[in-house]
Order: sequence, then structure tokens, then C-alpha cells
Amino acid sequence: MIDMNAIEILIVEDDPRDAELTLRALKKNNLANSVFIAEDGEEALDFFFCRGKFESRSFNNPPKVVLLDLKLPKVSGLEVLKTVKRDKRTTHIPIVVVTSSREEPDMKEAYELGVNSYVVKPVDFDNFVSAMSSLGLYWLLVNQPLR
Amino acid sequence: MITNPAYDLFLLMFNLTQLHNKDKIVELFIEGIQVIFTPVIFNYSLNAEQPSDTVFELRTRKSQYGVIAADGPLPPDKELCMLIKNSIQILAVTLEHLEYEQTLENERNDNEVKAIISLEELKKTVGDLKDSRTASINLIEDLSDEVEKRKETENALRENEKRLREAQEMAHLGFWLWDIKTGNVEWSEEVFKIFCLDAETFTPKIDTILSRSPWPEDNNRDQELIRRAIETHSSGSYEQKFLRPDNSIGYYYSTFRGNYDYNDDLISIVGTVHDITERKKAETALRESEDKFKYIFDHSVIGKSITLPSGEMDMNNALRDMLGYRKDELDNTKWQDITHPDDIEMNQNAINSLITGEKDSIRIIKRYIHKNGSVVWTDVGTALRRDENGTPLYFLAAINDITELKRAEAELRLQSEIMGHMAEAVYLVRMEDGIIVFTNSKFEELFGYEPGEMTGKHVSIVNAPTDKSPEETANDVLGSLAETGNWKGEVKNLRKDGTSFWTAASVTIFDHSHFGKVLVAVQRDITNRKIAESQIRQLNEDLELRVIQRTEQLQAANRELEAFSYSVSHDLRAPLRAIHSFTSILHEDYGKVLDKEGNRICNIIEKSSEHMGQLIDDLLAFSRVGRTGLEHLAINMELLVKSIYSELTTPEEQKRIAFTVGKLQTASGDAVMLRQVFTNLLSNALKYTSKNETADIIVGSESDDHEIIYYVKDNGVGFDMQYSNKLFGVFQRLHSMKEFEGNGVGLAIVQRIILRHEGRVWAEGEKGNGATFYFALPVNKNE
Repeated sequence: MIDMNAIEILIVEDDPRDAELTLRALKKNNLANSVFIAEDGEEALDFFFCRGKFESRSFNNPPKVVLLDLKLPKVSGLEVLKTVKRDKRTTHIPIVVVTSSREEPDMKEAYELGVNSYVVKPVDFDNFVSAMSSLGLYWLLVNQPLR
Repeated sequence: MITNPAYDLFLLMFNLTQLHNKDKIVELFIEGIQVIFTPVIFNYSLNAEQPSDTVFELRTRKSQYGVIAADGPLPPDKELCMLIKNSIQILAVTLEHLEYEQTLENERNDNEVKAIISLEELKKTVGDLKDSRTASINLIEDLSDEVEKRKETENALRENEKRLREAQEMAHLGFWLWDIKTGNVEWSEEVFKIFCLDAETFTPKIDTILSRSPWPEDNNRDQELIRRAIETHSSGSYEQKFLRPDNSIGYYYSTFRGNYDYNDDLISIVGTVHDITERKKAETALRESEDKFKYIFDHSVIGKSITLPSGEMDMNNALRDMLGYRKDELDNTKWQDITHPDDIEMNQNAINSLITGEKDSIRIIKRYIHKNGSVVWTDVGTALRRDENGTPLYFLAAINDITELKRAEAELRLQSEIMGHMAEAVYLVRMEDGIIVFTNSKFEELFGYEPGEMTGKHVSIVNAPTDKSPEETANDVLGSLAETGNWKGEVKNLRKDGTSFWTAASVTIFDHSHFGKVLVAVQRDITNRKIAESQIRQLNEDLELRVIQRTEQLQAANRELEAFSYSVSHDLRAPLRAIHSFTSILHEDYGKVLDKEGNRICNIIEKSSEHMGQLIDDLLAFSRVGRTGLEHLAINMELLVKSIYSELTTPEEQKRIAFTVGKLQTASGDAVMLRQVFTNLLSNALKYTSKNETADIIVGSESDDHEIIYYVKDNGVGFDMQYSNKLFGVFQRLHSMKEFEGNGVGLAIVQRIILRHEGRVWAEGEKGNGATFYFALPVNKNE
């Protein structure tokens, strides 16, 4: 059982294949230890706001980075982004949108909502792996989160 | 009646010797006198001792008869009294004489016979007397006839004499006679008069016979003439000047003739002297008058002519000038010869009306023919002069050149016709009071009035009220006119029948000599235009509506497209990624287990999914080009190209590439898109020169007035020009995947972008000898 309060990377991804690939990439860099995968927007929000399944969570233990897909069931990625960034309790959490879409409207809105980074998932596996690795390395090791 | 008592009434004293009856005489006398002097009653007594109580006082001779006395009331007329007195006296004398005659017998003294003037009366009187006196009356009558005749003859003679003298006087004609034998010269009274000489003091002599002229040569000539006439036995005549005592000059005319005896010797010369001074004066006056007339005629400013009934014309200078002829030309030309052929009949008819007396004078407009053949329009007034019998003598005409007038008339007519046929309504308004003073026919047609109906009416009648009142409209117009002198605009007008319509009006102002300041309005019915305008407006509205609808449709379509693209970009990628990734994983994790074939197959799967990924990316990029907005900025093409080059190549690769960037003009366009363009072109150039040892890539630009042309030239494998039209098609490739990878979307994207910039793209190439790709951006879009 993972300690919900010790999650370093929150992956919000509905596609299990993509999730698996992401995990695999992170594993390669030994960054997959404290990863939690939320499968839809609602679950993600529950996690962020320490409710439902995640009652035990505390606001004081946010993840170091959130890899947020945009196309999610129930609540969309942008909605999640918006909600999280608006709330004072969660606004400081680094969120990286990781999505297949390079559409400008999506990008624009994401940035307007305050996303910290926007990454387009490469189709190519190698590139994907490389991108995910970079992400993980950067946000976990390089970036200084707020605690 | 009786005026001169001295001798007007004399008793006809007949030869009473025949009667020898004194009593009878007296009786007859008394009766006669009583009848004549009816108011007087005579009584007489021969032996009256004393005169009766009357005024008469007789002086009689004492005779055996005693005193002849008559008494009766006296007529009041003094003259009559005198007459009566004289008569009685004469009676007495006669009686005495009778007595005397008895002794002298036939001593008839005709001198005693006195004339009687009022024989008629006496005859009348005597006719009343009884028959017994008829014989004596007849005798009286006979004798009185004789006397009368003699008196008549005498009178006639005297008359003749008088008349002759009078005739001479009146005619200023005198006679002279030169008696050759005696040498005497006789002048008649008139001659003296003519020469203002006194018959008493002046004696005419032969050498001064008619030489009254102070000019010797004249006198010599006279005498010469006379001498010649005499020699040739002919009569002669001459005119001569003479000097009057008052030193004025007179003129006389003389005829003379010689009288010869039976030996043909000259006896005398007779001649006349006729004072023709008056005639001469008259002649001179006449000549002067004629000269004056001629001068006036010749020098009149108006053309004048005197034409004979036969047609020959005498023209003055003005007329000659008018017709372009010199002084010596056109003598005796007939008027028909210089009149326009079409006018001859009309002219002749007019002349005829003068001749018949139908008209006293005529006035016609006719054309003469100028010497140079042109037409001269004239206004001719003609009168006919007749002689005392009424026979036409000549036509007097005054001719005025109205060519200018005609031309002005024609111009005026033309202008009037223009005004009448204009497509616009024209009217004049007097500024002073706003009254319309002129309208043309188009105005009437347009506004529905009778010709001239609107003249004199106020202009506001034709204006319809709009959002402004007619007064406001009028004031606007007047204000503008005052400033600029004209006004143009659209006016809503009112027709006679009350309907309104729109016109385009152009108004100007000017000063008219008669009307003062006037306003000229030229108006065109723009009802059709207005209709067209509203139709256009309607159409535009419809169009806009449709545009809005279409835009909405387009926007909906666009949104669909966006959704589609989004879907594609998102949804397609994910599975693709899975394919690729898991195949890689398979390869990675289980590659050892697979054999060579297995690995090869994994490769293919990986490659295919990569390919597909690329396709999707390219497609998305291609569609994105059409969807996004175009921003026009000034772009530094040189920097752009250089930055793209360094992105696309590594320093290693750059070693074998000769990359030249010429001076590139600044472009105006969308930065992102143009970056894409150069990226695609440069990556193509790099790709197709990758098999070269050294790659030569040149980027340059040219420009003219209309566009800036950029090109990327390489020395790579080139292409076959016959397939050049396929170059820019989507997914079209001229090389196989084996030769060069690629999807064939790159150039399609370039074309799409450039077309969106309203430019054009094209390429030139040669198989094995490189290619040059051009694109042109229009200049006028530059900032």
C-alpha cells in the first residue's frame, strides 16, 4: 500500500497503455517509487482535495509534480487544472499537461489556467520514454517544490 | 349795285331826237327811275315855281319848261341820293339838248351816250312797261346792245391790254425792238423792270441793247450771236447774266429774230427778254436739292435702292457694301439677279401688291446673294412712287442687313430648342420674391403643369415637405448659394396632382438684367435611381443576411473541423503510441527471444507506426494552416532562414553544406506560417542534397513593383519538369520512399500558406541537376 501522503508523482491518465508506458519510463530512471495514477478527473480532484478515497491525505503533502492528461472521463483535464489552480490550497502544485493534443486552443487555455508546463506525448516510443524521463528528472530532482 | 355815283348810273339817253316828244321822254324817265328807285316817289312839275318840300335841289337850266323839280321822300342812302340828283340833272340837260338838237338837227353826239351797267335791271324794269313803249324799248335794247358791244370791245381791249401787261409782268418777259433805220431801240415796260431801270431816265441804245452783263466776254458773245443769226436769217437765243443795281446777279433768256423787207434787207430786230433769275434760282435750288438728295441717298448708312418697274436697280453705297460689290459694279442690275431664287416669287408678289395699290408700302424679309455667293438676310421696306396719272414711276426701298440678327435668332432658336428638348427640367426663380419666372417644357412634363402655368407662381409650390419643411430646404439652398454660388442635392418635389417624387437638383445663381438676382434650377427625375437605390439597399440587406447565414454555416463547419482535428490529434495518436511503444518494449524486452525474422517484423511494426504518426502530424499541420488566422507582420527573412538552418542541421552536417543566404527583402506576413514555409523548403533542400558530397543551397530574393520573390536553390537530385504540377499536391511525391522519406505534404503546406498570403509558388528543376523552389508575396500587402 502506498502512503497517500508520500506521493511524489501524480499521473492523471485514463489510457492504461499510456499509463503503463509512462510508468515504465519513470522506472527506468528510478523515479517510479511514489507514483499514483488517477484514472479520471473526479478521482484526481478527490486526491487533490483530500476527500473521498483520499480523506487521509493532507494538503500539506502535495505531489512534486502532476502529469495531467487532458482527455479524461467525468471531469476533463482542463477542468481539473482550473479547479486545482484556483484553489489556494492547491495552486502551488506543479502541473504538467501531458497530452496527445498540440492544439492551440488547448495550449492556450492550459497556460491561461496557469499550467506549469505543456508536453505533447510523442508517438515514437523512444521519444516518449525520453520525454517522460526528462520530465521526471526535472520536476523531482531539479525543481524546488513548495512544501 | 351801284358804287360809283360819278358815272355808274347814267340814264340811257337815247336819241330822243327820234322821239321828239319831250313829254314822253320825261314820262319814260320818271317811270323808269321810279321803277328803279322804288322806295322813292317822284313827283315832278315842269313849271314849279318853287321846289317842293324835298331835299332835291335841282339845277336846271331855265328852259321853256321851267324848272324841273322832283319831290318825294329821299332814300336814306347817300349814294342813291347822289345818283338821283345826277339823273335828274342829266334829264334836264338832255331836255335842253333836245331843244338844242332841234336846231342842230343830226348832230348826234355819241359821247353823250353813257354806259349803263345795270342793263339787266333796266331791261327788267322796262319789260314791265306797257306795250306802247315796246318800240322804244326795242330801240333802247338795240342801242344798248351796240353800246354794250363797244363797251365790251373797249373793255376787251382794255382787258387785253391789261392782261398783256399783266402777262408780261407775270412772266417777266419783255420785248425789245431795234429799228435798223432809225437806230432806235425800244424796250417794253417789262424790260425796264427786268433790268431795274427807269424808263424815264434810261434810254436803251443798241450797244447797250442787251449788254447788261458786267462781264465783257458775255456781251461780246451776245452780239456775236445776234450777228450770226441775222446773217443766217435764223432766230437765236441765249442765256445771260446781268448785274442789278443792288449788285445782285440776275439771269435772262433772250430770243431774237430779224425782220426783213421784200429785198431781204434787215429792217429790224425783235427779241424778247425773259427774266429767268427765278427759274435759275429754282434750277440751282433744284440741282442743289437733287445733289443733296443724291448725297443723302448715296451715303446713307442703311442700304437704299431705287428700282424701276422693269427691275433695274440703282443702289447706294451702303447696299453695295452689304452685298460685297464695288462702286462701279452692279449698275443696272435687276433685283431678280441678286435675289435668292427661293425668295423671288415672294418678292414679286409683294411688289405686285404695291402696284395694284392693295398696299401703300410693304415690308419683307428676303435673301440677297452676296458677291461671294453667300446669303445675306435683309429686312426690306418698299414704297412705290407714282406720277400724277398714277402710273408707277419707281420703287424706293430701305434695306437692312439682318444676317447677324438671323444668326442670333437661329442661335436663340437653337438654345430655345435645346431648352425645350432637354432631358432635365429647368426653371428660373426670382430671388427677390421666390416667384418662378421661366420653366422649360421638360419641367412642365415632369411636374404635370400646362405650359407657362407655373410662371408667376411661388417656387415653394413644387417642393414637397420631407423631414424638413419646404422653407427649411429653401433656406439651406439659399445659404449654400450665398456662400459658394451653387448647390447640389436631392430634393423631394410635388407634382400638380399632389404626388411627390425625388429629383437630383443643381442650383446656381446669377444676375439677370431684367429679373435681378435669379436662381437657375436644373432637376432630373431620380425616381428610378431612388428605386434602384432602395433595391440595392434591399439586395445588400439580403446579401448581408445571407452572408451572416453563410458565415454561421462556415463557422459551424469550422467548428466541426476543429473538433475533428482535435479528435484526430488526440484520439488517433494514443493508440498509435501504444502500438509503437509496446512493439518497442517487445523488441527491447523479448528481442533476445525472437529470431531475426521476429525482430525484423517488430521493426516493420515500429516503423509503420512511426510513419503513421508522421502522417497524422503532417495532416494536422496542413489543416491547421487553413484554420488559424493570418497575422501580418514585418518579418526579417534573413534571420528567419538562418535560424531555421541552424535548427535543421548539426555543425557536422554543416561542414559539407555550402549555405548562402543572399539579401532577403523584409516580408509582410504570418511569422509562424512563413517559418513553416522556409522550414519545409530548406528541409527539402537538405534532404534532396543529402546524397551529394557537398550540398549547395542558396536562398535569395528578387522584387519588382508587384511582388517579392524568394527562392531556395539546391544542387540535389532535382526532378523531372513534366511532373512539376504534381509537386505541390497533398501526398504527392516524385520520389519513392526508398529514395527519400517523406509524406509529400511539406510542399502542399507551403503552397497552402503562400496562397493564404495571396502569393504564388512554383518550381524549376532538372533531373539530376538540382531544383529551385520559388514563392512570391504581393508587395502591396507590405507594411
